[in-house]
Amino acid sequence: MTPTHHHPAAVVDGAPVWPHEIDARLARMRAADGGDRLPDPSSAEGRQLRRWTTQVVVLERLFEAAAAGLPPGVAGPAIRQVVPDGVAAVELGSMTTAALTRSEAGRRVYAHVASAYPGGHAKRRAFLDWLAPRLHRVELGPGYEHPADPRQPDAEHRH
Amino acid sequence: MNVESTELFAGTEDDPLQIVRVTGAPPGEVTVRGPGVATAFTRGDEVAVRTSHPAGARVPLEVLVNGAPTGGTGELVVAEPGWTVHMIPHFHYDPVWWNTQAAYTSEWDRTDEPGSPRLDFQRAGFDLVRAHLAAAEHDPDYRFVLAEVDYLKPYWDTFPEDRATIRDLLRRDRLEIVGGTWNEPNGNLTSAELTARNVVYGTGFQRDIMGADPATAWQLDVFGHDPQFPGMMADAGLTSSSWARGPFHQWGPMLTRIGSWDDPPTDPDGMQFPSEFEWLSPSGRGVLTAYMTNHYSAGWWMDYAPTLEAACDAVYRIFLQLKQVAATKHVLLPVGADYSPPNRWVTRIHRDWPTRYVWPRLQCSLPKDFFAAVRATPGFSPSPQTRDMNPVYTGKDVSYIDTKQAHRAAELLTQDAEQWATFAGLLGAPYPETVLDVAWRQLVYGAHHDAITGTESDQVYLDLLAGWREAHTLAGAVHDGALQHIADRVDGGGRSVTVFNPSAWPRTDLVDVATPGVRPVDDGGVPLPCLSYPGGVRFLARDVPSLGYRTWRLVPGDADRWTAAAGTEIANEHHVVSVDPDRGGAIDRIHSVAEGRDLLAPGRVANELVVYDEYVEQPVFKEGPWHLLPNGRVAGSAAAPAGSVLRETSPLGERLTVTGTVGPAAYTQQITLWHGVDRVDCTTHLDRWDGTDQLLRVRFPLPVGGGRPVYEVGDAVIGRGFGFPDVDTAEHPWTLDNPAYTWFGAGSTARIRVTDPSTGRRTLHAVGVADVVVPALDDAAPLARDLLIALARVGVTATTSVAAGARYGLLAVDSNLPDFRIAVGGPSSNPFTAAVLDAAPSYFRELLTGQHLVWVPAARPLREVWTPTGDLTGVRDLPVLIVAGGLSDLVADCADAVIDVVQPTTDAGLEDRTVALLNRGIPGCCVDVDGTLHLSLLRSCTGWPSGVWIDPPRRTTPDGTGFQLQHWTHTFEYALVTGAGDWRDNDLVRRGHAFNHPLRAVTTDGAGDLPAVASLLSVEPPGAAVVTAVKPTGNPLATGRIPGPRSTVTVRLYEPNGRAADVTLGRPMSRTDLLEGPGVPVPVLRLRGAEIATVTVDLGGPIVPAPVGDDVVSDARSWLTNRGVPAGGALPFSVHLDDAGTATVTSDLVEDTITATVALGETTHTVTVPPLGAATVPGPALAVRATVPGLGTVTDVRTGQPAFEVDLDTDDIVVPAGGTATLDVRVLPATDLPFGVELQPLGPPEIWAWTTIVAGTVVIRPPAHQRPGTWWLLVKALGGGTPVYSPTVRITVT
Repeated sequence: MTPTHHHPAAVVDGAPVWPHEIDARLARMRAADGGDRLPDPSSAEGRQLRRWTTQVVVLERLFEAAAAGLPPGVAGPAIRQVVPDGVAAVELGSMTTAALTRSEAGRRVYAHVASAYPGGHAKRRAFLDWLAPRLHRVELGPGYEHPADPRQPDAEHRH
Repeated sequence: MNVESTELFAGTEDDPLQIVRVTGAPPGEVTVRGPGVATAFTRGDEVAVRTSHPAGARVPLEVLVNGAPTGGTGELVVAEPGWTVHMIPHFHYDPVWWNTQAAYTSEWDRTDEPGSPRLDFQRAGFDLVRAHLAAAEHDPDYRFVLAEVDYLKPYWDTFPEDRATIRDLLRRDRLEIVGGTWNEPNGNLTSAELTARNVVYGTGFQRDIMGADPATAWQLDVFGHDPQFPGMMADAGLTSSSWARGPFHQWGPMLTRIGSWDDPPTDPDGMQFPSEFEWLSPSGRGVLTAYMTNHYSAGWWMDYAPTLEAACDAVYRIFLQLKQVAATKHVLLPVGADYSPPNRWVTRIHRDWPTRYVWPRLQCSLPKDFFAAVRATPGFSPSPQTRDMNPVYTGKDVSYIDTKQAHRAAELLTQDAEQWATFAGLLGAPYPETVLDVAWRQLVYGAHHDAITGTESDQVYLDLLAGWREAHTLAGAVHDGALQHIADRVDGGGRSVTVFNPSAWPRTDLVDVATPGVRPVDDGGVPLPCLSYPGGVRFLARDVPSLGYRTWRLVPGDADRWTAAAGTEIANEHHVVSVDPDRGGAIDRIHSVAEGRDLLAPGRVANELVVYDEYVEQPVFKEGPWHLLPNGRVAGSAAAPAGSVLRETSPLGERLTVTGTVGPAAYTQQITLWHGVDRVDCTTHLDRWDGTDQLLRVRFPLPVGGGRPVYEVGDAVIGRGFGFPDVDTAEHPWTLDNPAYTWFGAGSTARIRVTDPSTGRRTLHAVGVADVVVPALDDAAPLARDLLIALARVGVTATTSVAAGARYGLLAVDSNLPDFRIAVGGPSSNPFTAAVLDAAPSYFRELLTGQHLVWVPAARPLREVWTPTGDLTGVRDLPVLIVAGGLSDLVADCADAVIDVVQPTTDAGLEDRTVALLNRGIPGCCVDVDGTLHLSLLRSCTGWPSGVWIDPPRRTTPDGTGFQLQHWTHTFEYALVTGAGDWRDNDLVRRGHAFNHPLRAVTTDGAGDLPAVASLLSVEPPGAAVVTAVKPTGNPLATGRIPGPRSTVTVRLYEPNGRAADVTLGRPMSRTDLLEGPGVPVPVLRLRGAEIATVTVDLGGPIVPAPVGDDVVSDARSWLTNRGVPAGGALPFSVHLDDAGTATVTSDLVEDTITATVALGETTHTVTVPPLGAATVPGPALAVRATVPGLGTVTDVRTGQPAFEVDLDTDDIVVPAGGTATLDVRVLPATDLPFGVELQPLGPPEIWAWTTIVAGTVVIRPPAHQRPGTWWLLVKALGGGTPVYSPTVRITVT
């Protein structure tokens, strides 16, 4: 299942995310500090990184679309308020955590969705419940499956 | 319109209402009706019905809307209420694999900002434990398990504030600790004794220190299991086990597919037995076992479900599949994957589901509840299974072969060292308890299924190598010190050599004396024949007593040397061997003097090196080093002439040395026949190896007519099936190589002896692996249990299957194949028996009218059906022993490994003899259908994670390749043994043991007071039991106690031949269990065949442990430098600095209060720490050092230590044997680390003995007798919380 550049990596509510956009994001990551630690693009781990990055981009698009419906003028909380520690990062998962780090829109959505809930744990749970069906509607192209989807050939080498 | 008959029930337990789902009906109130079926209510598309029909009945239904028929029809399949799905949250943890110990334990989460771009959708141990504890704190329905001590102890020590929470969760049954072992070891690649230590350390921490009650062995991901494993777990007090690999390939019978990744899991209809069964060892003991039919992650993937409803539906669908093989109405669903956080839906399913359905129950549960429910099921009698749970991942037996050789050498040296140190302790020497404890712990750590299996990345390989080297070095020092202590006490009557025998029977064998210029003499003063080598002399030491020694006087003199002679043939009183210079120097004749025959297949050669090209990764599964991947291209050394052939003689024996090349290998092979030794000793040196994705085997075509493969495993011997070494794994993925312990061969472990009543003629049929077919599942335990145990005792493992069920013997699904069947019950009670008799000539049915036992040969010879497409499920594919009555007589008849059947026979049958190869740390092997023995020597893998490096800069071997390619000089040692009779007649267990436990010699002035000859412990009768451990009784360092003086010695031993034996040790003894709890006095140890027993004896003493000096310094966070185990081993106390610089001293002692001196910054404090308690010392400080007298010192530093590099002053060293070279180790910049830097020299095991680091300099001093070769060395520096590796230096010895 080799991804081609003529097929979208993902389609988010009808809007395509093209492979070249993922390429560009990966190039920026490789050029940044610590970029030399990223896996070789031709390896299974490299393909997994591509899938991981696609998920992050997909999440950012979802957040932008959702934030468009929010009242303007209210800035989102800082990332440390949303993900204060490792337990929070574990609960949210690394891709959601990475997307929230980059996306102020995402943090605004988080604050809005979680506003009715007390405590970090309940807030995160509510946010994930909000996110899950929206993620489920995203179409992922071949080679761009969720990294942990056991049906794709580069999934963790054991279940 | 669609009508689905579900297995869901609404209503109540007393009045369950089965749900029929009707979709696509016209609008209105939908009901269904049929004969005896009425609708109780409808909600949405669910119609709840009441019926009086029994489960399984099929009833036609019509669909009505608003009371009127729609014309729509369907069918109700009446389901069974009363099922429960036990959803058990867990996470699978590997302390090392492709990533490092540091990353997996805590550092994987240490990023500069949340969500940095690393592949961390899994989390490290610390954050996982915290997350699962938090889930339990927030959610009263969350229950979960924790297992591996490799993260449990670091977490327990680093976060003592969570100990109360953990204990509270244990008390309230919210948390269960499982495993009972320290990690998940691949016991089939180590000694059984090491597995015993694994459970000693595991239960010691989980029970004694944590206060938990581990009852379930948790071996989720282990690549196959050793047959004696369940019995040993029972002996340690565990009562159950659960795991995911063994009887089937890859990920189990529901997920192994060829060619299609998109298919969902299939039904488990290839399973021959229920998922819950009694797993029994050859010893006859075992545990109730739950096999994870759909892998250990079966219940995890619904985490990605978008809604609660979808998650519930996913669990329900898995339930429908798993229930098909459940033994009771309880299904175990593991909800976790590798390093997985708490599952998002599991407790919401637990709460929501009962609001809609009364059955099945979906409950967040624990293994103890699951197993209790299974056991409480009325009439539950688990199906007995002794099936060999191998082979899984055959590459694991060969990858990183140097680590397997190193592990074997280290674990046996540690066993012997412990034994001699115990005897020295009885003579008053301080017992090095903590030193041996470090060695055992490093071995336990290395036994993990991603360590010893060779599946690790390059950096992890180096880290693990350091652990094996440390174990070997520590054990060697203890070993040599103990022998010296005893030898110095011996009265040798002057300068003498004392030869020690580590085995529990008298031995005659060669021994090396590392003292040049001397010769041993006999009682008459006549010098014995001996052979000189640079640095020492070798001679044949006769009659060295059991676990004892014999002393020979020494006189000055030069021994003889090897002398070149003409010819290509060598001989001793047992064998004649010749080699063919035109065929690579391979062996072209092996003659057995005792048997009066040549053993080689006509026209074939033996000891040929064969290079197999391999795929980079498994073509379908895309996996590398754990699969053997030959692609069909083969090249053998016999295809070209040898470079040279040299014959040499000496007073001790004769040898041949041949050289040559084949593919990427340049080899030197030596074959030696020693006078007085019944063995053909073989050594293969690879002077050069630069293979890439290639496997090297050596093979011996020594067919035994009718013979079957026989393998020694841990503390037992079993039969196995033939392998397919030459296949192209793209077409036929399973080579059926298997791991052996010290030997494997061809012959028989048990046989059917058919006697013709009219002629008296007897023929023998070897059997090794059985498919025992009972009429129905309810018959399995009552009919088969005793038979299975009796068969396993004599080496025949078996699967109990049922007549109407799947047949054992389909290679596409089963990990191994049977070679015969036993049909229990005559044709009127067992449909399988009837089917066999229907298909066989009628003559066999007639035979059955007159006798109980009939042997129905297969329709074709085994070699015709035993093919890589292996389907042996046909009723006539394998021989069948029909047992129509007299089952208890058959069980009794198994005891001598010969099952007698009286009936006419004309078959040729078995040649009653055996050929076998002994190995030193080379476990991978197989026997093919032609009877050729194949021994895998090494392989080079480039498949992931070969070449992976975690903390740059990456290091490689001097030629720039990864370490998994093994490009350096290697030495492999193995030996051929042959003889009439079976493996017991040939005493193979003792000979394999002796091949791996050499006699040792110590030269002294002989001025002591002990007798010149003595046995320190004897097993009577000799050879009736093999001793695997002699140690002071008890395991204080494993159980949170301070070692004290001991007045008894523990001896662990096992019966090696599968026959009952009464054994004494010459002293009063008590029988205890594997954990050395309170014992019961026994005058005689009555061992059943293959039984493993632990006893305590009073040998004098007391044995006093050596205290730990303050200078034994452990890093509290030793995992940060991937050290495996802290320098001090058990770490009974620890100290940690938090981010504020406050120090907390923690205790893992269960009864002792300790006083620690704590140096924190510029100040020193004294704190008292109660048992299992903690005490704080306020900072702030960047470094802390805590010392407890007698228990050593522990240090910790805050993060943010300066980075440094390690460099060596050259990259190429050439040194002659007997010479010296040095390397300066430069640490740059000169660091200001609070506790300095620990430097470890790393290189292949061949160089360990002659490379050390002294005061920052690497000293390379190969002894004069070191063979030339090329290796490598690098230095690992541990300090400041990160590991640093120097560049690699090429080492060439000339």
